[in-house]
Amino acid sequence: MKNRLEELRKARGLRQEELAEALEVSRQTIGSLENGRYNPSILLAFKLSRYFGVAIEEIFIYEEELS
Amino acid sequence: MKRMKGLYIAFIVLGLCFAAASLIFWEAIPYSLGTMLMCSGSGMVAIGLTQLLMLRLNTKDPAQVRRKEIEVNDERNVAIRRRAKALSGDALQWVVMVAAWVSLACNAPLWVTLGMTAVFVLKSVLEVYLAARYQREM
Repeated sequence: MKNRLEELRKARGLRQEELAEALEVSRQTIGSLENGRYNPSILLAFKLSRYFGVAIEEIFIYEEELS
Repeated sequence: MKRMKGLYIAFIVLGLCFAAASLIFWEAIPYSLGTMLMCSGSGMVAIGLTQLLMLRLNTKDPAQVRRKEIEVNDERNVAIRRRAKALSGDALQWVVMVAAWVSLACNAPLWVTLGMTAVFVLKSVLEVYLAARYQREM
Protein backbone atom coordinates (compact mmCIF):
# COMPACT_ATOMS: atom_id res chain seq x y z
CA MET A 1 0.00 0.00 0.00
CA LYS A 2 1.33 3.44 -0.94
CA ASN A 3 1.47 6.18 1.67
CA ARG A 4 2.40 9.82 2.17
CA LEU A 5 4.23 9.25 5.44
CA GLU A 6 7.64 10.44 4.27
CA GLU A 7 6.11 13.55 2.73
CA LEU A 8 4.16 14.38 5.91
CA ARG A 9 7.15 13.72 8.14
CA LYS A 10 9.49 15.86 6.06
CA ALA A 11 6.91 18.63 5.87
CA ARG A 12 7.09 18.82 9.65
CA GLY A 13 10.87 18.72 9.66
CA LEU A 14 11.01 15.48 11.61
CA ARG A 15 13.65 12.77 11.50
CA GLN A 16 12.56 9.12 11.42
CA GLU A 17 13.94 8.70 14.95
CA GLU A 18 11.81 11.56 16.27
CA LEU A 19 8.63 10.25 14.69
CA ALA A 20 9.40 6.74 15.94
CA GLU A 21 9.92 8.04 19.48
CA ALA A 22 6.65 10.00 19.40
CA LEU A 23 4.72 6.94 18.22
CA GLU A 24 6.62 4.50 20.46
CA VAL A 25 7.77 2.31 17.59
CA SER A 26 11.23 1.50 16.26
CA ARG A 27 12.94 3.67 13.65
CA GLN A 28 13.06 0.63 11.36
CA THR A 29 9.26 0.43 11.45
CA ILE A 30 8.99 4.02 10.25
CA GLY A 31 11.51 3.25 7.48
CA SER A 32 9.61 0.15 6.40
CA LEU A 33 6.31 2.03 6.42
CA GLU A 34 7.75 4.80 4.27
CA ASN A 35 9.18 2.30 1.80
CA GLY A 36 5.83 0.51 1.62
CA ARG A 37 7.39 -2.75 2.78
CA TYR A 38 5.21 -2.92 5.87
CA ASN A 39 1.52 -2.16 6.35
CA PRO A 40 0.73 -0.91 9.86
CA SER A 41 -1.87 -2.28 12.23
CA ILE A 42 -5.06 -0.28 12.49
CA LEU A 43 -3.85 1.03 15.88
CA LEU A 44 -0.62 2.39 14.44
CA ALA A 45 -2.53 3.84 11.48
CA PHE A 46 -4.78 5.72 13.94
CA LYS A 47 -1.76 6.87 15.94
CA LEU A 48 -0.20 8.26 12.75
CA SER A 49 -3.45 9.88 11.75
CA ARG A 50 -3.82 11.59 15.16
CA TYR A 51 -0.18 12.60 15.23
CA PHE A 52 -0.31 14.35 11.84
CA GLY A 53 -3.87 15.57 12.33
CA VAL A 54 -5.11 14.12 9.06
CA ALA A 55 -7.48 11.30 8.14
CA ILE A 56 -6.06 7.81 7.66
CA GLU A 57 -7.10 7.95 4.00
CA GLU A 58 -4.90 11.00 3.57
CA ILE A 59 -1.86 9.05 4.75
CA PHE A 60 -2.49 5.64 3.22
CA ILE A 61 -3.60 5.28 -0.35
CA TYR A 62 -5.65 2.17 -0.95
CA GLU A 63 -5.70 1.02 -4.55
CA GLU A 64 -8.04 -1.80 -5.39
CA GLU A 65 -6.37 -4.62 -7.25
CA LEU A 66 -7.71 -5.04 -10.75
CA SER A 67 -8.30 -8.68 -11.58
CA MET B 1 13.23 -3.47 41.20
CA LYS B 2 14.23 -4.41 44.76
CA ARG B 3 12.12 -7.57 44.50
CA MET B 4 13.92 -8.60 41.32
CA LYS B 5 17.31 -7.84 42.89
CA GLY B 6 16.39 -10.04 45.86
CA LEU B 7 15.25 -12.79 43.53
CA TYR B 8 18.51 -12.75 41.57
CA ILE B 9 20.59 -12.76 44.76
CA ALA B 10 18.56 -15.74 46.02
CA PHE B 11 19.22 -17.42 42.68
CA ILE B 12 22.98 -16.91 43.07
CA VAL B 13 22.97 -18.16 46.67
CA LEU B 14 20.96 -21.24 45.70
CA GLY B 15 23.31 -21.89 42.80
CA LEU B 16 26.33 -21.62 45.10
CA CYS B 17 24.65 -24.03 47.56
CA PHE B 18 24.08 -26.55 44.74
CA ALA B 19 27.69 -26.28 43.58
CA ALA B 20 29.00 -26.54 47.15
CA ALA B 21 26.79 -29.55 47.89
CA SER B 22 28.10 -31.23 44.75
CA LEU B 23 31.71 -30.69 45.85
CA ILE B 24 31.15 -31.67 49.50
CA PHE B 25 29.15 -34.82 48.77
CA TRP B 26 30.97 -35.76 45.54
CA GLU B 27 32.09 -39.13 46.93
CA ALA B 28 28.82 -39.93 48.67
CA ILE B 29 26.34 -39.23 45.89
CA PRO B 30 25.98 -40.81 42.43
CA TYR B 31 28.13 -39.26 39.70
CA SER B 32 25.11 -38.18 37.65
CA LEU B 33 23.55 -36.36 40.63
CA GLY B 34 26.84 -34.63 41.46
CA THR B 35 27.25 -33.47 37.86
CA MET B 36 23.65 -32.30 37.72
CA LEU B 37 24.07 -30.28 40.92
CA MET B 38 27.30 -28.69 39.73
CA CYS B 39 25.91 -27.83 36.26
CA SER B 40 22.63 -26.41 37.52
CA GLY B 41 24.41 -24.56 40.35
CA SER B 42 26.97 -22.90 38.11
CA GLY B 43 24.23 -22.10 35.58
CA MET B 44 22.12 -20.44 38.25
CA VAL B 45 25.08 -18.37 39.47
CA ALA B 46 25.86 -17.26 35.92
CA ILE B 47 22.24 -16.32 35.18
CA GLY B 48 21.86 -14.51 38.52
CA LEU B 49 25.06 -12.51 38.04
CA THR B 50 24.15 -11.57 34.47
CA GLN B 51 20.68 -10.43 35.50
CA LEU B 52 22.07 -8.42 38.41
CA LEU B 53 24.52 -6.73 36.04
CA MET B 54 21.70 -5.94 33.60
CA LEU B 55 19.62 -4.51 36.44
CA ARG B 56 22.53 -2.29 37.46
CA LEU B 57 23.04 -1.05 33.91
CA ASN B 58 19.30 -0.40 33.51
CA THR B 59 19.13 1.77 36.64
CA LYS B 60 22.03 3.84 35.30
CA ASP B 61 20.32 4.53 31.95
CA PRO B 62 16.48 4.56 32.07
CA ALA B 63 16.34 6.01 28.52
CA GLN B 64 18.14 2.94 27.23
CA VAL B 65 15.59 0.72 29.03
CA ARG B 66 12.75 2.65 27.38
CA ARG B 67 14.37 2.22 23.95
CA LYS B 68 14.77 -1.51 24.53
CA GLU B 69 11.14 -1.76 25.67
CA ILE B 70 10.00 -0.02 22.48
CA GLU B 71 12.17 -2.32 20.35
CA VAL B 72 10.70 -5.43 22.02
CA ASN B 73 7.07 -4.29 21.83
CA ASP B 74 7.31 -2.71 18.38
CA GLU B 75 4.50 -4.25 16.28
CA ARG B 76 6.74 -4.91 13.27
CA ASN B 77 9.36 -6.62 15.44
CA VAL B 78 6.64 -8.71 17.12
CA ALA B 79 5.29 -9.75 13.70
CA ILE B 80 8.80 -10.61 12.49
CA ARG B 81 9.51 -12.71 15.58
CA ARG B 82 6.19 -14.57 15.26
CA ARG B 83 6.73 -15.29 11.58
CA ALA B 84 10.29 -16.48 12.20
CA LYS B 85 9.14 -18.75 15.03
CA ALA B 86 6.34 -20.24 12.94
CA LEU B 87 8.57 -20.86 9.94
CA SER B 88 11.41 -22.34 11.98
CA GLY B 89 8.87 -24.58 13.76
CA ASP B 90 7.60 -25.84 10.40
CA ALA B 91 11.11 -26.43 9.13
CA LEU B 92 12.11 -28.25 12.30
CA GLN B 93 9.03 -30.49 12.06
CA TRP B 94 10.09 -31.67 8.59
CA VAL B 95 13.70 -32.08 9.71
CA VAL B 96 12.44 -34.39 12.47
CA MET B 97 10.46 -36.40 9.91
CA VAL B 98 13.48 -36.70 7.61
CA ALA B 99 15.59 -37.77 10.61
CA ALA B 100 12.98 -40.45 11.36
CA TRP B 101 13.38 -41.81 7.81
CA VAL B 102 17.18 -41.68 8.13
CA SER B 103 16.97 -43.55 11.44
CA LEU B 104 14.97 -46.26 9.69
CA ALA B 105 17.56 -46.50 6.95
CA CYS B 106 20.34 -46.70 9.54
CA ASN B 107 18.63 -49.50 11.44
CA ALA B 108 18.41 -47.36 14.56
CA PRO B 109 16.38 -48.72 17.50
CA LEU B 110 12.64 -48.59 16.86
CA TRP B 111 12.00 -46.22 19.79
CA VAL B 112 14.16 -43.58 18.08
CA THR B 113 12.02 -43.67 14.92
CA LEU B 114 8.78 -43.84 16.88
CA GLY B 115 9.89 -40.99 19.14
CA MET B 116 10.62 -38.74 16.18
CA THR B 117 7.34 -39.65 14.49
CA ALA B 118 5.52 -38.89 17.75
CA VAL B 119 7.15 -35.42 17.85
CA PHE B 120 6.02 -34.82 14.24
CA VAL B 121 2.44 -35.89 15.01
CA LEU B 122 2.35 -33.93 18.28
CA LYS B 123 3.43 -30.75 16.49
CA SER B 124 0.73 -31.25 13.83
CA VAL B 125 -1.96 -31.86 16.47
CA LEU B 126 -0.86 -28.82 18.47
CA GLU B 127 -0.97 -26.72 15.31
CA VAL B 128 -4.54 -27.80 14.52
CA TYR B 129 -5.62 -27.23 18.16
CA LEU B 130 -4.09 -23.74 18.27
CA ALA B 131 -5.57 -22.83 14.87
CA ALA B 132 -9.04 -23.88 16.12
CA ARG B 133 -8.55 -21.91 19.35
CA TYR B 134 -7.47 -18.77 17.51
CA GLN B 135 -10.45 -19.18 15.13
CA ARG B 136 -12.73 -18.90 18.17
CA GLU B 137 -10.79 -16.05 19.75
CA MET B 138 -10.32 -13.82 16.70
